[in-house]
Amino acid sequence: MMYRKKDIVKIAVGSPDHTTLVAALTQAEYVNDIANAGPFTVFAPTNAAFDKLPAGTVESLMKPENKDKLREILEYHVSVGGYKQDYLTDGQTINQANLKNITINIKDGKMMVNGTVNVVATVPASNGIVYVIDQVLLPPAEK
Amino acid sequence: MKSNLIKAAVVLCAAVFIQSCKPQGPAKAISGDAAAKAYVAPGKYDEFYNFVSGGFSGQMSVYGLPSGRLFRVIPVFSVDPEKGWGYSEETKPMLNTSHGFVPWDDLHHIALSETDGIHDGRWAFANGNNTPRIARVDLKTFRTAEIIEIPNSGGNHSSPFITENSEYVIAGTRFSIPMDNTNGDVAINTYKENFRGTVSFIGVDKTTGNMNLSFQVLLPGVNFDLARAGKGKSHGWFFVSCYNSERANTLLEVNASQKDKDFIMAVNWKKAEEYIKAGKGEKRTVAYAHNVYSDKTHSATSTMEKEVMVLDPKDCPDMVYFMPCPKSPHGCDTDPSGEYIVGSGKLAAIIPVFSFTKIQKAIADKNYDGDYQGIPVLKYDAVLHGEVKKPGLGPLHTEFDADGNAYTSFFVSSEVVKWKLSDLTVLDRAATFYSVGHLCVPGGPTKKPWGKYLIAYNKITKDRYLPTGPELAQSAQLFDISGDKMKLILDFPTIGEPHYAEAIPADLLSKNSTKIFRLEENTHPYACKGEKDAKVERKGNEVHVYMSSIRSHFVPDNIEGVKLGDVVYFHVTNLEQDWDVPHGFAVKGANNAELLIMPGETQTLAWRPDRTGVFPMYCTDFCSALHQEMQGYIRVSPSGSAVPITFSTGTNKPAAETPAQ
Repeated sequence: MMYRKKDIVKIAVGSPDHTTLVAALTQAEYVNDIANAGPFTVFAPTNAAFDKLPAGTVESLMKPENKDKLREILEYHVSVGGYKQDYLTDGQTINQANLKNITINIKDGKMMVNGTVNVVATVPASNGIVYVIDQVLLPPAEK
Repeated sequence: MKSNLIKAAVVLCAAVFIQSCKPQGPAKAISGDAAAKAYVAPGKYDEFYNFVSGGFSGQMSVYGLPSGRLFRVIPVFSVDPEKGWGYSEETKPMLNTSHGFVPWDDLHHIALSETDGIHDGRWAFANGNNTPRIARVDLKTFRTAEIIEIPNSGGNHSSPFITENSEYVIAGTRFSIPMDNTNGDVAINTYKENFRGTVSFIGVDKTTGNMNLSFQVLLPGVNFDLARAGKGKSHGWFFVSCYNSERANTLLEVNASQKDKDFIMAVNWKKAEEYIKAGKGEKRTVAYAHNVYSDKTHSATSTMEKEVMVLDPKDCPDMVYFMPCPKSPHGCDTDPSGEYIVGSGKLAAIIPVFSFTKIQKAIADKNYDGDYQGIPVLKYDAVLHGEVKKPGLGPLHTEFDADGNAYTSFFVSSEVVKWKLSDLTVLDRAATFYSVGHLCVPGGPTKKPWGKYLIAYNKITKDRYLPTGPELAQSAQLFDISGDKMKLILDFPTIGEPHYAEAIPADLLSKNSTKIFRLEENTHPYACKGEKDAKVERKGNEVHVYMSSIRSHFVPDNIEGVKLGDVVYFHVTNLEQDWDVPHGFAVKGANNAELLIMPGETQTLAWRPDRTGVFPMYCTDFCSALHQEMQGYIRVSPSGSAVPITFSTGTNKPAAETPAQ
């Protein structure tokens, strides 16, 4: 069967800059979920973004006993909805799959997340949209 | 370096995994005895009837369980030329609305009638989502008996959920709109000022099942999605899921997903009844059609009603409360005991379970978290029994068995999760293929689930069936839930599109099934109760044919004297009095449909001939060995012709052959 676009998982798998993300999705058993109809908006941190985390963080998250923590972080990168930049406004909040909000910043047509995270590329997918980001989004602490 | 290697290996696995496109593997999901469990031998009966919504087809379909065999498509909101539904003169009024004749709707949910919270096998109710209506199907005849339109509604999605003694079915509007009695010609972005929602309570007569619009509750301009009545201890309450508490009127995909919580609304309908009795309701002028089909006249009537009683919570304290629920909740399901209300936020990754006892306490203590549009909001923590943590992504809808277990569908993660109501632990999960919507456990919404099976109704089938062009099959998946673990035992395609469904033990219905309509009880004004009563009458440019059908001829079968410009009404009575001997009727060039006429019934086809000539007519429903002989002719002459009306069967023999020139 031919699709016009690849789905989000195929995009991530096909990207040499997203091997850590794909490994994390696999460990969290979320690969099937985001290959689903969605649509989803996925904020996809690059390998370099994961490398900015304190040393050992990724390795720790990849341990089976930390699966819930890993899922929580990954869910914070996913919106259940396909949000093109045209439909987003500066200061808009979006509630993510883990029920925490992110804030979208748009200045001069350039999109950022939570004030400091840069969207460095946008890839439309068959089941949503991928925003490639240069830092990992960390969910706000529980109240 | 080592970790990079591991990552690369994982990526490689993931890639292989994904290309196979069936990660969980259907082969793995099927156990060895699956076929035997779903197999119903030829000539044997199924255990359950399954009444399945037909979604955008507007119809209701009936399957057997566990075989998944399709028995019948019951035409409800959409015309059905196969059965003449909406085409015969008798059935046309059933599809009348305040907008005139509406030949289609979008049927989403089924509610089977209950007595004491248990299926009583009398009626199936269904909602028309688009032009707001509720229909009642008679489970003796498997035909639509009544349709009532809902005023002050913009999309009847949160419907037709039923109370435990079928006191009411409800109709909550998906779209909030300017109310019918106001000037609706307003700017759309005045939504917050001018748009309101309503939930309507449709009373159901205990004996006849006849519906009436008892009252409506006027509510803030949110979207109402699904609902369940309380039962047992919570009888007298209704729980309704609400989304778009942002009250957005554009791009809801973004703008109605802002808040981390929307609401489940709790309505004390016994209190509402008291307020109605106390005269707190306000009569509002509206227009809605109420259509009723009679199995005696074999005809429908459509009455335009003009008033509705509206209760405004601001005049009626202690009637309506909101409970915060993450996030755009869809399912809102009451467990068999009536104690637990399960909310399913379709964008959430938890399932909140509310406690009726705690709700009552929070109300008594006025334990509020402020108000929403003047309606008290109960504190989330005060009404929460607990949350099922990380059960999956995108919970949609929950059904129950009789053993204290709940089954929730997850649209995003495409699975069914079984969990325990008492301690909220996840017991089992089963993959569905794909994107499951509603679930059905026989008796799942009642006080006494029959259990045994669970059916998942899927929105997307991808590669499950042979491809059929751009649109693939609609699908149901049957699970055996008699053991600790759910077992997938059958896929079966359904008519499109299956939303909610109910299932009921076969013997509750099969023994009551209508076999024939008694001819002597037929009071149709154009009935032809015997061949000697057959006739053709002219009234101006109307020609009325009182026609009988019995194996294997029509009386009359030769008709002359019809003129161009006439409208011919074929009133066909089926004289048979044996089960399963319908006759059909069709005439060449008919611009509407055929008729299907059950034994003892009269149905009418209006025919407007467009040219002169002789036109064949015949029986379309294979009735006998001489079915193919069951035919006749009708002659059409020019307007102004002097050919008199004549009609006959068996006497109008061929004229002598004209000698060859």
